[in-house]
This record gives sequence, C-alpha cells and structure tokens, in this order.
Amino acid sequence: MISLSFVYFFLPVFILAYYFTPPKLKWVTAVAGSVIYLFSVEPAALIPLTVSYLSAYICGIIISNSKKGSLPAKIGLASAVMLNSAVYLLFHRTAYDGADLITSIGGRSLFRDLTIVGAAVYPLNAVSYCIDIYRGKYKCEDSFGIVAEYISFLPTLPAGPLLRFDKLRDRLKAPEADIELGAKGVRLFCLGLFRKILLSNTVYELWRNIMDVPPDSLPMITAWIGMAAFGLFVYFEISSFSYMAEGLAGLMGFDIPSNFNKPYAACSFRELVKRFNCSLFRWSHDYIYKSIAAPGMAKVFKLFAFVVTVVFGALWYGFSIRCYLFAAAIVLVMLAEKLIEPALKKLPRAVRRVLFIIVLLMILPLMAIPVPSDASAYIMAMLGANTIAVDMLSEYLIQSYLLFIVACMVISGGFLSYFHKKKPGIAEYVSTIIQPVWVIAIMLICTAFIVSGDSSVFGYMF
Amino acid sequence: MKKFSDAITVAAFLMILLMFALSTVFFQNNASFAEVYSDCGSVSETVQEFVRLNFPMSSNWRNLYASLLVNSGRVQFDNIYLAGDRLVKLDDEDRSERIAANVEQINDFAEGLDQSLYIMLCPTAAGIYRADLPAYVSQNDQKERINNVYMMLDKKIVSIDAFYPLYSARDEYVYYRTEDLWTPFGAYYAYCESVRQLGLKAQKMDNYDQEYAISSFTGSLYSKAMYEGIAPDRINIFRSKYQSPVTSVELFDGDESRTAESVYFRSALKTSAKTDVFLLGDRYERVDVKTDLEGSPSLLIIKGSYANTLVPFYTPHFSRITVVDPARLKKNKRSLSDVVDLSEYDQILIMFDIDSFSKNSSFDVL
Repeated sequence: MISLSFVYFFLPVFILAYYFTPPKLKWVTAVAGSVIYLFSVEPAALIPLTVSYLSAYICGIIISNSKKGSLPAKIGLASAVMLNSAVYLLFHRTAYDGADLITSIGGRSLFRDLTIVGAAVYPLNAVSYCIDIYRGKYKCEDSFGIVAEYISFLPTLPAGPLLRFDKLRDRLKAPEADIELGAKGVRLFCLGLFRKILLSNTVYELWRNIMDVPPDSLPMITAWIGMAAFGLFVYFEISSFSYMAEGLAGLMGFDIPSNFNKPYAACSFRELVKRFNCSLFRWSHDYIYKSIAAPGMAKVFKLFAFVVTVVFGALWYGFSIRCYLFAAAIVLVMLAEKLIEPALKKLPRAVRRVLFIIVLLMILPLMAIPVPSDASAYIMAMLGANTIAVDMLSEYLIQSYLLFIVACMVISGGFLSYFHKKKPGIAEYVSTIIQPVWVIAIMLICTAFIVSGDSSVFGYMF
Repeated sequence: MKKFSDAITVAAFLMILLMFALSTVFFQNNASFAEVYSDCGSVSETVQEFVRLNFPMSSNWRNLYASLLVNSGRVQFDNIYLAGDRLVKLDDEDRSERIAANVEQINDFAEGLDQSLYIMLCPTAAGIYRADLPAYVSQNDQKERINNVYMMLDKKIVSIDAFYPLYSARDEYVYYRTEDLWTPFGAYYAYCESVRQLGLKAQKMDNYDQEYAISSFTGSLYSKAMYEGIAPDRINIFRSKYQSPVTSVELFDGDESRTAESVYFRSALKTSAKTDVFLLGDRYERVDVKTDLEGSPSLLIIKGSYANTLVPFYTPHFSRITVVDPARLKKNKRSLSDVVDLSEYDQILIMFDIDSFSKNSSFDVL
C-alpha cells in the first residue's frame, strides 16, 4: 500500500471503478481488486487464496446444511480449519521476521522467495466464517462472490484488522456509497499513510541506528531509547495499516471497527492485549480460547487455553524463535500480573502505567533482536551492565529524533484524545471547514516522503 | 455544512490522485514504459519504476522532504551530512585492507622508477569541516588516515601535505558547498604546497584574474539531498594575467581522442556536470597538456577527480603534463605502460583525495 503506484494509480482506479459498478456487481470489482493487488505482488498468491475461497464456501454450505454437531458438519468444519491452517502455516511470513513455520522448526522453506500478502488475514477470515456457521451464529451465504469478497476484503489484506462476516454481511449484499463515511475514510487513509511514512519509518530508522551498535557496548540510555523506538515502530506499523484499511473501507462504504485503542495508555498486559490489535485478540479469544476452554472446565484447561491463545497471538507477528520467546515472556508476565493483582490494584494508575511500560520495554528485546544471546545482552545493557549511561551517539540520536519520539509518544499514549473530548462547538465548525485542507496537506507531505525516501530502508512488519 | 465539507474532501482526494496519475502517464517523458520494461523484466517492477521515474514535480517533492527533515532536527541524508552552511559527504567505511593493497602496489611501482615519485593525498570537506559534523560521526580523522598511508609508503616516495594548507584556509571558499570537490581556491593552496615540494616556485594569487564561469551551480550533493537551505556554489576559473603557456591539450580514451587549446572546457558548463569545465572531468583515460615552455621539466600525474582542478595551476611550470586516470585505464583494460613512456617524464605525482584513494582498486594498472 506504500508505493506511488498503489496510492496514485491502483487506489483511484479501484475506488472509481467500485463507485461506478452497479450495486449487484460491486463484489466483482472488489474481488477483482483483491486478486489484481495480490497478483501484482506475487502471482503465486492466488493459489492459497483460491484454497481459502473454495474451502470457506464449500465447507460453509456443508456445515450449514447439516445438523448441528452431526458428522458431516464436523467433517466440513475440520476440513475448513485444516485447509486454512495449512495455508496460514505455509504461506504466512511477516516481512520483519522473514521466517515461516517450516524454517522456524529447522526445515527448508517451501516458498522462501514468495511474498504472500494477506496470508495472515484471509485464512483466518475463512476459519471464522466456518466456525460461526458451525456454532449456529448465522446461515451460510449462497453467493460465492459475497463470501469471496469477505474472505479477501481488500482494505484488510496487508495487516488486518480481522473482520466478522455477520458484521459486514448486510453491507456486502447491499453496498452503498456514503459521503460521510467516504470523508472519514479519506481522513483515516491519510492519517494511516502519515503514521506509516513519517512516524513508523522514522522510529524504525532510529531503531536500526541503535541495532547496529553491538549490545555489549551499548550505553544504558541508548538501549532504552532503542527499545522505545522499537515499541513505537510495532505500534505505528500495524496501526498505520489498520487506519489505511479503515480508510479504504470507508471509501468503499464500509464502517469497520477500529483495531487499536490507545494500547500504550494501558496499565497492565491484560489491558494491552485487549487494546493492541483488538481484532486479533477477539479472534484468538473467540476461536481458540473458547474452543479449548469450555465453561466449567478445570483451571488447568483454562490455563492451557490461555497459553495457546497468547502463543497464537504472538506468532501472528512471525514464526521465528524471537516470537516464541516473546510469547513465553508475555505468558509469564501475565501470570505474574494475575498473582500480584490485588497489590497492583492498590497502586495509583499512573504508577501502574509506568511499571507496565518499564516491564514491556524490558521484554521487547526478545521480539526485536533475532539472536537470543544478543537479546539478553541488550536487556543487560538496559540494566546498566555496560557501565556507560550515555555517549555521543545517544546525544546525536536524541537531538535528531526528539521531535519524532515526542510526537509518537503523545499519539500512542492517547494524549490527543484529550483535545477531542474538550472540543467546543466552534472548533468543530472550524475543523469541518479546514478538513479538506489538512487532508490534502498530509497527502502532499506523504507524497514527498514516498517520492524522496529510499523505500529500501523502510521497515515493514508485514 | 459538514456534508459539503465531506464531499469536497472526497472529491479533492480523488482528484489529486487522478491528476498525478494522468500527469505521470501522459505529460512526463523521463522514461518510456518500453525502456523501463527492458531494464526491469517483470510488469509489476516496471510499473513501479515507470511511476517513480515519471512522477511529476520530482525535485519539488524532494525539496519538501529535505526541508521537513532538516526542520525536525535531522542533519543526515544517507551518507551526506549538513555541516554548517554546506553539505558534506562522509565515507567512514573501514577500508584498511584496500589501502594496504594500494600502498603495496604504489611501492612496487616506485621501485622500478628512476625519477622522483611524489604523492599528495588531500582531505575532502569532511576532513576539513569535521568540527561541524555531529559528534558521533566526527571520529573519522582524515589527517590521521593520510599520515598512516604516508607512513606505510616507501621512503623514496615524497609525500606532500595538503591537509595543513587547506585546514589553514578553511574559512575561505576552498570546498564547494554542494559538490564533493575542492574549488580552484582549495586547489590553489594544494598547488602552492605541492609545487614547492617539486622544487619550483608557486605563482602568487595576484598573478591570476578570477573569472566567474558560473555563479549559481548546485552539485551532486545537492542533487542527492535536495535541501534548499544551502546557498548555490560558483565556479571560478583562475586566469593568468600573462599569456597562457598552453599550446595544445589532447585527450584520449580507448580509441577516442580529441584536441583542444585550453585546459578549460566551457561546453561542460551547459551540462549537469559543470565541474567538468576542468579537463572535462574524469571522462578520459589520458590527457596530454603541452606548453611552450621548452626546456622545462615534464610531469606525469596519476590522478583522481581532485587533480582536474589542480592541473591548470601547474601549466606555467612544465613543458608537458600528462594526466592519467588509473580507473579509466582499468575500465579500458590497459596498463600505464600502454599509454605512457615513463622515461619521458622528469617527475611523477600521484594525486588523490583520501576517500577516493581508500576505495580505488585500480593501482594494479601501474
């Protein structure tokens, strides 16, 4: 989505084609858009996509037409889950991590050179569609086109959010352009682009500068700055794509839910997982946790379900050893948090928030650094093991990136929402008038960065 | 009111996208789709590259980008730094192995020579304006690097210190602000020092009239950084107040050759490589400058780009100056002995800037 050819060619052509397509045929434009987009990145991407389309549609019909809990329904569900799990496990590989499941367990990747966009999204959409039908939440959809449009909903392909069929069904069947939603879409798309190009890329560049320093000679302050930069990169990277997805969906007439709720304003890890990439949390909770831990089950099953859910959530960001380690750290921290919950609750919220941020930054090196020994050396550097607090590099980085770091912290900490809440009527009136101006200004600034920036140094999570 | 604003927002957004798309396809002619396709191979890559090459107002976008970065506190554009009022290219890669190999090849070359061999490694702007660079990158001490090379060279090779004269004159216009080269003023200070070492007396600055060949020139560093906050450069030509001794200039590259009457090539001022006004830059493997100073010594210069600005200053001292570019010789698969007869020269000078010397891999042609 971050290229001149996508923003200035594919996007306007697709949106205009979608607007001018008769409502009954809009699914054709939508599916064609997704297929062309995926094909342009990697032609082979159409193979897993086709598997997801067909498995969801056929299994959905089998499940829907069978008695609840009957053998055909179970076979239909198992087939859909297995086929889409295979697609997910074989083809999902994040750009940042670079490993798929097979390489992470020491094998040779079947598809090393392929970049399959959307493999983290459409198999999960297909699974949720079939499970919901099995659970009797809704009947299967007769139109293959509508199912295909949902499975590969173009705005969400790069990095989610994960959507539910029942929330989109009415709009998919009766698409309608909405100018208010369209304007919101433009705003969100531009903000997403802004977040990706100016904020995410800049904090990634800062992290890259620090990552180049060997951990055993890293000053303490630089190590903390580096981890703050990495944490902000992960947030802005995924949230920017979520914003763009919301924006593009708005332009198509869909109002999809926000995927982030000020995650770094959280006071605990339990709160974080609910606020960060909310749709992934809801998906994992509904389809993994609930499938394993039925009500009334023993605590040990619930603990098992919890661990599996957290590991799945962490592995969505990549399959390499670092994601497993980070998942393990999250599980341990959340269990510890549960144990000392009564004591934590007595602390003021601000103190809990600071504690949470410190612990988060302390475990983030496990996710950020590919080699576990380097990650542990980095954590030691954060604790002052290298006996240097600050050096010239730290001073230079603070001087060069201070503005960006402050901007990123203000945005990710949710401080801007204060102004939204306090917004008086006159400000709303003014903001309505200047809306087109700031939207275009952001668009032009982003264009300057896309045209001029060296895209080879952009950091991509997905 | 809100609905109207929303409608304007959506319409303006789509209009801008379409406007740039149409302009890219129909009104820019930087590269045709077929040309790009022949370079890229796949349609997807071709589309990306075609759009990148033909996107309208490219320089304006890059200016805006650089200004935004500088105003947010950034001073670095890849390996180019904003140092005070100038752009400086910094090469801080460790090339000790390459340097050692070069030194060895030069020592071998010196061993077989009957005449004196001189070497002048000059600093780049990054060495002279080190104090204006961010503290963490200014560890790169060019003076130390140059001295280390001199220490490794054979004792019979005479080393010439260009660092001190240039550093002493750092407040003058000795380096371009937007190009990775010294100005004729910088070259003049290096000339004074080098000609003294060559056993001759330098011409005084008063002996020259300074002609402004071009007064608003932006060099390659500007083209990469596109930061408009840097004042453009000017190119001066130092014209002797007396009659120029140059009788002919012959330039050779492979089978190609051309002849001129001056060491200044004004045609280059109309191209993007304006500093090629001096000896046409690095376009030729060998340049022969002949003067009417019969009986004066002859000089062979084995050169990097910095020597082009320096050669005009040597013309009042030598009957013949031959300038050889080892990089071009290597490219043309020739050796030094294929293009010059060393016995015809009284003195030989190797002249490079320290960065080019450190990465040069063509001294095997000597």
